[in-house]
Amino acid sequence: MTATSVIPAVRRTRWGVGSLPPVTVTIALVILAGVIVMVLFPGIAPLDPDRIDAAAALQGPSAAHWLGTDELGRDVLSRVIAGARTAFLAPLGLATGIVALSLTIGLIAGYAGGWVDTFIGRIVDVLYAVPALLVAIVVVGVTGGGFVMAIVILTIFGLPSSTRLFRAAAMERVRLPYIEAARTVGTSPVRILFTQMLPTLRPLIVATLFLQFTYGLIEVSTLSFLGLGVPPGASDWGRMMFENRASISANAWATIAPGVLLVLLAVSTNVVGDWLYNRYEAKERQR
Amino acid sequence: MTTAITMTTTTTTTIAPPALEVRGLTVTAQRDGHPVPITEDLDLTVAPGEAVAIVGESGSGKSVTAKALMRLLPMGLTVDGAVHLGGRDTTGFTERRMRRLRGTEISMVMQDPFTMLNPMETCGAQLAVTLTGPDGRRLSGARRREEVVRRLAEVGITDPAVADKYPFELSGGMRQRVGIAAAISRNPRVIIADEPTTALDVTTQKEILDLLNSLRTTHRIAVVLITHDLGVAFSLCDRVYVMYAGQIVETADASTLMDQPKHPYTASLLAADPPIDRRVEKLASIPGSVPPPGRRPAACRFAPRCEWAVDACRERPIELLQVGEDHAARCIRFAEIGDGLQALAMARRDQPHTGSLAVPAAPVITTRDARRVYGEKVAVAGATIEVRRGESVGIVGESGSGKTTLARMLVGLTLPSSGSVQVGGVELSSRLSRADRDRVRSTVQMAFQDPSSTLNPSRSVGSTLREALRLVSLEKLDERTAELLELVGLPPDYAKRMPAQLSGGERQRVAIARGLARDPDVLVCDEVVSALDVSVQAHILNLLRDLQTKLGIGYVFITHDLAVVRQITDRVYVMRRGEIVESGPTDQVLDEPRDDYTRSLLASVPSH
Repeated sequence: MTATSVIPAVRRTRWGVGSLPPVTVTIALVILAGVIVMVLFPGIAPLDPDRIDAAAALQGPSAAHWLGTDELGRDVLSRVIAGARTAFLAPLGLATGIVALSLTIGLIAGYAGGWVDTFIGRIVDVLYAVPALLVAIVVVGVTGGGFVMAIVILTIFGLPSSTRLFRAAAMERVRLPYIEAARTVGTSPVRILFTQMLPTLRPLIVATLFLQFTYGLIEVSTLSFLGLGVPPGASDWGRMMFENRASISANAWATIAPGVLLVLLAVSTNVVGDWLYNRYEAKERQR
Repeated sequence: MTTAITMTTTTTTTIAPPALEVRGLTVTAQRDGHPVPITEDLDLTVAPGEAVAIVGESGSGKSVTAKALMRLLPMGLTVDGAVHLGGRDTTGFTERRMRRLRGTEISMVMQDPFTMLNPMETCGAQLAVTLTGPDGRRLSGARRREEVVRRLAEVGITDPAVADKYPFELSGGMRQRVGIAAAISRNPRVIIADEPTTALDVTTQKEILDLLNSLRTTHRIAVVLITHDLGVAFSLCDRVYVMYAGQIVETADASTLMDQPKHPYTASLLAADPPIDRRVEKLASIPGSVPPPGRRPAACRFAPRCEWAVDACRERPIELLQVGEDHAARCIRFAEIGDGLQALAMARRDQPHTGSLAVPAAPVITTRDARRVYGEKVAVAGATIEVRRGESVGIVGESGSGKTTLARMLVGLTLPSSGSVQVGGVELSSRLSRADRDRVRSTVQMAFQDPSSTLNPSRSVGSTLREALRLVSLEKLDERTAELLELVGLPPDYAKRMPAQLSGGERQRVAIARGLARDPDVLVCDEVVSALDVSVQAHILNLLRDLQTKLGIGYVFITHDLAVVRQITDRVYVMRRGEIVESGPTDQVLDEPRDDYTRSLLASVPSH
């Protein structure tokens, strides 16, 4: 009587629907960890990155210089390791600034609504219309302003997209009964934003942070590749690619190594951000 | 189980094969690599033109059963057992073959009329998709149109213009009719209606049930009604299957089940349903809640919640036993406890009417011509109401009547466009002094409808309650949190739990506790029980009544359910299209309604 009919379940990947394979995530985590080690322990560099040795200029890879040397005979490997510092810290600062500001502004706009929202919305629209990188190139190029100015400009003009994101999230939540209940009980708006809304936004914040890091990394490197922002001679990946371009036929590694590292770091942060977002989301959905 | 064929609606007596016959239907999910049964060994027989109901609370497995019959289960679920359609065994049918049967042999009406139809296409176009001529070809334009209009007429839509309308231009009831028209367009033998009226107002619900009933005669369609509402089941169906925790625990014809339940769960469910015609002293409720799949007891599933359970009930799985003619129950003690069960089920009808309280006291909330418009739309068209200290006031109406907007105005979440709302002597406006605002907050509080969003998912129960308590004072927060939890009947260690770890009823208790944190005079309850199962609903209603005696608190009860109004309110306002059409003491309004609308509301309530 009990014949069996089994419906074949649609094949899902072992690690869940739409998620990345664990191998990819592991590789990305290792790369990210490697860059962080270079940032925290610049001492692992075999030589002083700024030591000039004219005698050893423009050498290919050797036992003494694994990635060869540049025009001034500086060790490329040591310079790449030292360059991790700006490559990592500048986008980190940029992303943190953008998330902190856009979160505050977005939540206020979404929660308050009305003219506050309209006012903020117009400013955001204006900022959106302006390409951040172009402004940074022009302003830093004309004024000769330094690294800090570049970061500030990129932060301000990088605000629109994430501000809109957080505003939408706040608007969605402000209608939910638990927020209305907090209002009815008499909780102050500031407290509602911080204690009721912020915790539910964690996945979004993590995702935005990593996404903005990647954008920031590319923008900052573009600037230094154009010779803006970081001072000449500094060990910075973008700057190294710019300076060693001319000697690419003598030692290609001096240009390729920082470029490859840039790409790897950008992809890795994207992958890790994606992975963290999925994990948070899954946890949130279980609730 | 017997395969009784009761043909009450037809005069023909030829013994046809059952329209739908199910044997040993088991649906299994995979969880962490282990099979977890969701429904087990289900037997079901439906004759042509017969209507049977599968009744159960959430977690009983009734919706999964409906989908399994259609073979439309979500991925990851497997089905065992045999499903015969019109005498044909569909076991082993490929998805392709199954697809041909859907619509022509078996078809489904969904719960939510708002998402069931494609918003981008007209109703006519959606109906025409399934229409083919006798030769299986598509019909010509004119013929198709004619056929669509005929189909609409079949489900009581006589206006052909509806065919050119988009779903969002129609009311919920109309959409459900179009959905039914689509479901029956290829003359299936069986139609499965999964909670077809749950999202609808009570007057519309009656129309849809009548329509489903008429299809049994006009089309000889067998109806399988999936519902949580015993009243709905009894009003349409000849036979009822009661499901609990994945099993059928009792089946009999409707009247037998109503009068002589043989399973304690059925009897308790009957008793827990609040009567509409009288206010009873205390509503019967079932302790605990339905165990989810994976945590169900191996022996009798209901034993942990059953007052009649003995050791034998907890030893081994219980079979479905024949307890009478066409009557089976999954209870080994049916013979001994039968009288007790009958008494329990009947108690609901025999309990004396206790009458509502009359409280002549000072008004706490008054509104005068409070009006709220949203652009062109008038939500509340001038409401004048009064809530006195310690009394419980009902605001009744169907969806769109403006009752929720009125409730929100009472707590200041929405401000009136014109007219006035006074709470504790304070006139509500957007500019209130701090002292006035505090006064309003400690006079009126609110509890919300949806148990899944009433609590912040990322904060523990304790922190939600402390958030409210700290606005009164910062002293002994933890101690007061525990007291508050105790007040609503929850153990103090619930403070550490997250909302996801609570059942719907428990969340609603926490929401009520939050409302009580500021010790208000009036608690506005916006449909607080409408999303809960019957047995849990009784818990919450009893709790609210206990709190009223204990704290002297008053309620404003927003609801569409007249039985709930009868149980909990002293006075009632009936709203329709933003206006109050009738008001007065609850008993008077419900027993001798003066307004036509109130009368039609009362007449539409399915009861047993």
